[in-house]
Amino acid sequence: MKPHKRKQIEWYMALLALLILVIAWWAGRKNWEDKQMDSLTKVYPDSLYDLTPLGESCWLLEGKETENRAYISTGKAKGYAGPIQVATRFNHLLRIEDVNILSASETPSYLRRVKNKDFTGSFRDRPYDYNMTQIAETNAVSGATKTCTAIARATRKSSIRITRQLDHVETITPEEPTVRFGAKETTIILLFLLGMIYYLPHFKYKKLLRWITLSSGLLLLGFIYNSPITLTHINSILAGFWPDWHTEIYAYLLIFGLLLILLTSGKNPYCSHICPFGAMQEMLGRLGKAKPLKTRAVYLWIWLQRSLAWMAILIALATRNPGISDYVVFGAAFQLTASHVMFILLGSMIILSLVVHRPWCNFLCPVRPVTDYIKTFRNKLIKPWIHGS
Amino acid sequence: MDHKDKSISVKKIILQAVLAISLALIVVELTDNLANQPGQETSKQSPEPSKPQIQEHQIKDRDTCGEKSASDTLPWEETEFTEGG
Repeated sequence: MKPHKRKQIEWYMALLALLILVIAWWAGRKNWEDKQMDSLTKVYPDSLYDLTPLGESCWLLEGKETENRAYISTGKAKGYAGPIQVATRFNHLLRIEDVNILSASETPSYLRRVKNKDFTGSFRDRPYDYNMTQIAETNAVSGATKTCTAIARATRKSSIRITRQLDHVETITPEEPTVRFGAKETTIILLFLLGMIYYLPHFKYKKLLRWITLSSGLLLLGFIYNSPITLTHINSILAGFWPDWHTEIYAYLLIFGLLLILLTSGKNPYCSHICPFGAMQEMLGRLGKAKPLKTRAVYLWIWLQRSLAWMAILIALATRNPGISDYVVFGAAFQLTASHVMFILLGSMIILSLVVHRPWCNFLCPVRPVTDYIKTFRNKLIKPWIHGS
Repeated sequence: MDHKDKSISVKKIILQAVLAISLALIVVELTDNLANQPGQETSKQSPEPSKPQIQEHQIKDRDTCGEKSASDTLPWEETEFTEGG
């Protein structure tokens, strides 16, 4: 097929894909609103309990077969991927009896880890005014700190709600969030700047600079900060679950920094020079003298990669759960937190990287189709305008 | 096709087969995640709520410094509660 014809088909397919994503977004939003009460009745089924509303997100819980009663209130806080909603049950002394996660958008393997370690059990028997964030600081499950902090914050919010509802109880005042800008954010800005210097036409030390950014990306964004761009970041922003700007400036810098560079220059310094897993594959490739996989089915592989990424975003938007469809192997590679399937996938990628140049980036990674998609729109809509002016 | 070409094409087929298996693993992971998403999984049976007590208690008297106060007996714990009050 001629390149011009192929580009035209790709453009129409890009528009169709966008239309379907918008429909999924709308359907997901509606479904998510309906799901909130359903989750509570799943934890406290109608057959066993009576839930009498006391006010906004607060209930009196009474056992049907016994005369026992408790208070329930829900609270929500932002986790890694999106909001985490918990239902906290208080006894008559307003001591916490249990904390149940009603809904969460976290990466499933991380959420499973938090549940398996019974993190919510650390709230049991605490008074309503206990410093919940202190529990997150001391008992957080390794590798899932954000999820644990969000559960603690959501539990605190549920305590605030119940104290506001029961007007005879001293009300807890919410904490003021503080802005966090530190080494992680500075590293991201520096890596993007170095990545852009690489594209300067007369720059002499391109090869050296590329290895500096690749090794810094692997060490800092991979192993130290564990903050590569993941599909969860993209899904969260598309679903409207924007990261907390006080504590997660790095996520904005990563996503919007890359978006800005892509739209203005059409270059993608992140995938080629910064991505920690890309760097890991290149280093392995050096060891095994890897070569690009030249195959006649190259377009089939490209379209499989794109379809998979599109499907994953579609699932995330339709279920309003950004973490559910993330299939990147970064958690397994840099945090050793993932399902068995993802560890097997990581193993196969490590072996393939020894013989094939960047197999994950070229054939499976969901971030690359997203950047290609943005580039398609840029080339069609922004590029002619830049060149015209 | 000479021997060298043949071995290269066999190598390519093997590499693509590994890629196809990796793709299948991703599909398995996505299916598993969808089946076990929070809200769809069977919820554990919540234990019964605590003993019946009155709703009106003198919590305002309490020291709200966070941890349980030095005395284990809190003001309202000494109160005699009536059933379903």
